[in-house]
Amino acid sequence: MWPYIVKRLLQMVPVLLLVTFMVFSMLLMIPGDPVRAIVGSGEALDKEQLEALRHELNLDKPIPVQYFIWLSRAVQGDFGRSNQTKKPVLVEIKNRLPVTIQLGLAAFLLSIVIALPAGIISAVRRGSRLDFAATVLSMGGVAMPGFWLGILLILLFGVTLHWLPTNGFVSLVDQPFTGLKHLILPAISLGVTGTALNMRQIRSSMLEVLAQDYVRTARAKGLAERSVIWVHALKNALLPVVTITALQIGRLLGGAVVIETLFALPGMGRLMVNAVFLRDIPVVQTSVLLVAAAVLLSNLIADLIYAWLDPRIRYV
Amino acid sequence: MDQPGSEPRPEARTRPYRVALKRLLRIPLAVFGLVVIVVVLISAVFAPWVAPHDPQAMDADRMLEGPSLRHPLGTDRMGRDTLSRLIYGSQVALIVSVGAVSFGVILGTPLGLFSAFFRGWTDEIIMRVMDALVSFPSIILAVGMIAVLGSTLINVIVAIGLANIPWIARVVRSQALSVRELDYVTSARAIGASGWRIVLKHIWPNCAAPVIVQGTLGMAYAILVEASLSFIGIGIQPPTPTWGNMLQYGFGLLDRSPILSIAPGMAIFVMVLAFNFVGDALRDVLDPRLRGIIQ
Repeated sequence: MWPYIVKRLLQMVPVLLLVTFMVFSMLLMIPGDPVRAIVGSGEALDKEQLEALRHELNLDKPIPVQYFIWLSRAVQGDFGRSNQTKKPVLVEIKNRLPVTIQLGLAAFLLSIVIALPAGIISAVRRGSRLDFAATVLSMGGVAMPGFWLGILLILLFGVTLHWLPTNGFVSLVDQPFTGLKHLILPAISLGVTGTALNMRQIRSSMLEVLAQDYVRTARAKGLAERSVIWVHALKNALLPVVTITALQIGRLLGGAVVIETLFALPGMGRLMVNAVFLRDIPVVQTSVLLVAAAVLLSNLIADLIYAWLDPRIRYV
Repeated sequence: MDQPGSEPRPEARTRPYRVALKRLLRIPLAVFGLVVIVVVLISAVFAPWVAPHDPQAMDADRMLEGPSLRHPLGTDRMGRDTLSRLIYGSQVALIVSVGAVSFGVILGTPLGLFSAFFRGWTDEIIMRVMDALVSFPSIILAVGMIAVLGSTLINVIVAIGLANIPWIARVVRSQALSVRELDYVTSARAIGASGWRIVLKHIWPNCAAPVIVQGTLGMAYAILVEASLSFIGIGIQPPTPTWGNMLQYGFGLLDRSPILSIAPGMAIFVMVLAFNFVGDALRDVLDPRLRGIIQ
């Protein structure tokens, strides 16, 4: 296992460097003066102050040097200051992170809780009405824009029935029940695509596994069908699910931008969108970097879990 | 060298696609998808003739009306006709998705071919760059680009298109790698065909199928991302109608006129569904082995 882990970690280094360079180069793409973009347009600066800032921000140095300085600061957690609030970017993000994490986790758990039994049942009862219904739902779910589902849910449960709150955030840690009430609609909206994809994946890998010889052997030696499916088949059928769920982290974080806007949740996504409106480049830049890093990390973890579950991988 | 039979006849070469099309038309969901796409395409191209009203024309006497014969999908707060705005909105949806996917294909295909053909360091570098690009979720990538460059049509297309490149490059590469080991490529090499000739004449045509499939599914995703960006207000800006910004506008009036939110959302949903259906069917028809590669 260790050689594999080391190999994967080493492979990740150049990718991570490329990612940081891509994010850094956002500053190079800014039309006009980057000093303005970093400091914010609200301030009246004369030419001398502008030059002083340019020097302070190292924008007068060659690009590779700028990148190196930017990167070494980023590694130490210094991502600069928001040009709106003047607070360190990392502080801004830290305040918003719990919202996005709770939302993302809820959506993720929801997708597993629904997709797992649904996918297994439709594979086991292939061709049944239940399978048909699950297949139709997963086709619809993949195409469903999460934010539109959110609007429909708000229309039904908020505007019409007045059952659930439709905006704002209450932390699950502080008030579990109220928090859950606030989180349920956003989590469904954010999780719908993942649920549908998981369902599809679980169904097809379950079908594949059920056709294999060892399952036939298990049946032949007289095992109860229940244990054949839930113990023998499921274990192997879940392997590809590990990969596909890791790929969804990116989708979840991207979707959170939209869903947080829809439900007025003060998370990282909302922070990013506001920062775009306010042209708060340091905040956008840092958020983009953190999301990409989270995606890379989750892919790495998925690969490691996969290798741990399926030792054959380590030798490929 | 030019012996008869050394090259397949042109008809024979185009036949696989005709066969595929015939099979495609036997899949009901694919037919549904194709019909939707063709109808939307026609109404987008001929919008001025198809749309019952001018999408910008306001009518103070008919604000927030429900569906009627005059306005089949009702009107918004300024009395603008929702159906006409939807039809014009499809122009943006199609321009962005076709543009973004073309951008991804035009850049992704050669990258994938280079990777597979040169292997070694070229492959390593290209694929690591693709890995890096893939770690930005499309919406996040678009948000970042728009923050810096502003939300023009071109920037939205490029932002979504960039996110398409690694997926195209990866399928092209994996297909090209498997094709280059086949006997007919070896024999082409044996009779002295140049590297470029092998890539263009023998390897690339075999990569077309996965690119078509990935591209079709990419269209669906591009429509979703474009709508998301417009919905959060950083995509194509009003007054140009897009499905996303109509939805944003309608959401503000959800308690007074739900149809303003339902209609554009339905348009996005059906369009994405249509591209997904066609993409899935194409995958099954063109090459069932792709099932494992393209999800």
